[in-house]
Amino acid sequence: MSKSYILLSLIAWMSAAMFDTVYLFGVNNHVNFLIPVIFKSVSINIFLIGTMLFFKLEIGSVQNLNFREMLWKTFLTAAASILVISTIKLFAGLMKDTVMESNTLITNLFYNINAAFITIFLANSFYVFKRLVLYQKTKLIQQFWNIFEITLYIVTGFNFFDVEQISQQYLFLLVPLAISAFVLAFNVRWIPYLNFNHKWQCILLLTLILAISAIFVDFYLDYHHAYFSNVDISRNIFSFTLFIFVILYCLISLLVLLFNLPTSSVFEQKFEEVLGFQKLSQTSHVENDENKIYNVLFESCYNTVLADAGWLEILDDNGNVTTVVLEHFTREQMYKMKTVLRKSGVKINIEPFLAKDLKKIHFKESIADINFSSMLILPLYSNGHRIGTLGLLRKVKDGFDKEIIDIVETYISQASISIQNARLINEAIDNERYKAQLNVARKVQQSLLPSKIDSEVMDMAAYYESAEDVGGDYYDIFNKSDSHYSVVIGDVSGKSTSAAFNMAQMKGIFHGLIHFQMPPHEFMIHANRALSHCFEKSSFITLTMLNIDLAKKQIDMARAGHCPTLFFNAKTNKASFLASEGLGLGIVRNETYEQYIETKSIAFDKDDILLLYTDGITEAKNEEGEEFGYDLLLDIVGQHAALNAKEIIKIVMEEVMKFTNGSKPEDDYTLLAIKFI
Amino acid sequence: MDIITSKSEEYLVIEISGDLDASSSMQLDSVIAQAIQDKEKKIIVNCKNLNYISSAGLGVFMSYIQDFRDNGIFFSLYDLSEKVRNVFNILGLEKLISIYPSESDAKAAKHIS
Repeated sequence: MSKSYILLSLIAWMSAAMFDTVYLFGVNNHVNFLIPVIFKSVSINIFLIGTMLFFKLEIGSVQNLNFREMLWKTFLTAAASILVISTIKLFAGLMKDTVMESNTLITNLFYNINAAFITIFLANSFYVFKRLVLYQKTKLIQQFWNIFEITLYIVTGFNFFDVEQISQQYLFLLVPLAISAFVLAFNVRWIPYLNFNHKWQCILLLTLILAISAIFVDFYLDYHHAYFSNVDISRNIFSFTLFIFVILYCLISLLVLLFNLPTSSVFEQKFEEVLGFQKLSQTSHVENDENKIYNVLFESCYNTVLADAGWLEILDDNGNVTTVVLEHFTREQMYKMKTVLRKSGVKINIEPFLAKDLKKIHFKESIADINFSSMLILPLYSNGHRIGTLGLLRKVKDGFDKEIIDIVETYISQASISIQNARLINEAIDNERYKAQLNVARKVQQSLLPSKIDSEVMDMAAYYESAEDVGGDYYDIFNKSDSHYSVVIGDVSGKSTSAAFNMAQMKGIFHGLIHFQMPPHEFMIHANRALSHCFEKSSFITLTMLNIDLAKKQIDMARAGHCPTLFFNAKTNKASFLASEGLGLGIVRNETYEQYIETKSIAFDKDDILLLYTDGITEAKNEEGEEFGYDLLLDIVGQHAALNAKEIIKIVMEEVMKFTNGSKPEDDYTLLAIKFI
Repeated sequence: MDIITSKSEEYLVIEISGDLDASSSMQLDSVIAQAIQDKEKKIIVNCKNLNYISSAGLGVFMSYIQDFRDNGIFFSLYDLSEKVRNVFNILGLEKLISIYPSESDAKAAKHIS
């Protein structure tokens, strides 16, 4: 697109130059070619507008606005133009004494080439300066500029008339345009954003551009009046206004730059402050590395107050020093300073301390080796806890203004938020880690429970759900022979992790003892002895152990404090709990336990049902706080005795869920159903 | 859960109300430990308002049975709800800890022995 503009304007320029050449050739040879002037007018306007549009597109599309780079390019364009023009001038000067001197054709061609380069320079500068003028624009400035630019394009219309445009006659147009250019030239908001060095560079560049413009002006004044008409490539209101605008903008920018030089350091400092805030606030979003926050905080504070030395000390939750950032200050000096201050009764841990002239303060101990004149110490707080101190020192007296202290305090409060966030993030990460570990524990625990219980001689099913990641319920089945089964169900006191460890111990004890084929109460006595050595004082376990003899159709059972086993007698069609005396394991940890446990035997037959469970089932609560209870359990099994073991468990769990309204279990649920076949 | 301790004659009366679960049992544990340390010889626990006792709560009573015996401390519970009493019964603890219907029964029982 932009290339087509440059091609178009090149063709237009050539046709304008050609027009002049042909016309002058005609004049010289007294021949009238009768080419209408309008032909030149059109060519000139196409050239002017084409060039303008080319730079409008080129410069308008620059994404990253770099003022210096733009000015540098403008200067290069100008320098290149002036080089060409000067060469031509030199060339023309050399030919002065030759026959060429009077050759109006050559002179005119040179003139047109010069004018083309001036136009390129002006169009380029105009659009570069447009970007500068509209930097941080307001709506008003944008509108004003639009009108100015459009008017400029419109005044090219005068090129269609054979009139002297730069004359008193057109002052009514020239003056308002010049004033507009003047007003617009005061939009120099880009200047404050340059630092000291960049300002100097811009001053240099603008001076050079201005100097080049002056050479162009010289050329402008040196203008040979058109040989035949007023329609001219550069001597028109359009080019004239461009000239005025470019020169004015250069001049005003130069002046503003010069006047801004002394205050630029202040602006730079403010800019640093803003950057500091930005850096700190960024750390509050993303940073979970506390050390990075400390470094950003220290750097920001240090640079803001123009400190000559400083320290930042960070403590952990227990008050131990974890991090120290030092700059031109040693750890020993820091500790000495703090000790001296503490001895002198300065509470640097609680409130800010400002020493305007360190040399005049009489501390209890000499600090002669600390060669600074003023000092600021601020305590750091995060979430109400003191997390450290920041100390800044300067070699000048009274080196900390109130404004500066305010800024440093704001930095600190911002950093405190970041530190707090970082600590929260780290805590969350730790929590995730614990969760993952608990997940492992859960899987390990599940592997402690029998993965499948099936038998060809009994119909069995089990259900287990822990209230937390790991639970304290335990059940197991051991197949001694085709007709002998041992079944155990237990509930370790307490919940979650500690219960889970004890449950694992119980599993070890069960498998250690079960091979000895002893009656259930003896099993309990041995288990109690074993548990007494490994359970902590307040832990106990309730256990029911059954030895099932399928040949004799007899169950030997001991109940060590566990919920009584539910037995459904198919013959009488009655469900009941099997009563027996028995104390939980680990409660009495000596030989007297024997007194508290007994084995009971019952006979069973086909279709009888055993339902073993833990108190999570009977103590499941509804919204009113009522417990599921034992009677409901009897009813449910009695009513559904025709179902198989798996279905009975399903029905019981459905009833429990219905009762608790599906709320999260408060205790582990374990169910083990056996139906004899 | 709330625990209120008071002195009634030579008895230390511990009144537990609410749910005695894993978290609140720690509190009961320290109250009993303190009573033993204070050389209390007669401790009775008012369970009138004890709504629920978890295995951890039972564990607290259980863990002091030996201490009570060794130090000759009379320890009993009274006024248990049907539900709570059933929990003690199932576990077999009623064989180790005397349980009485009322405060006067608890006191009288000690008198006889």
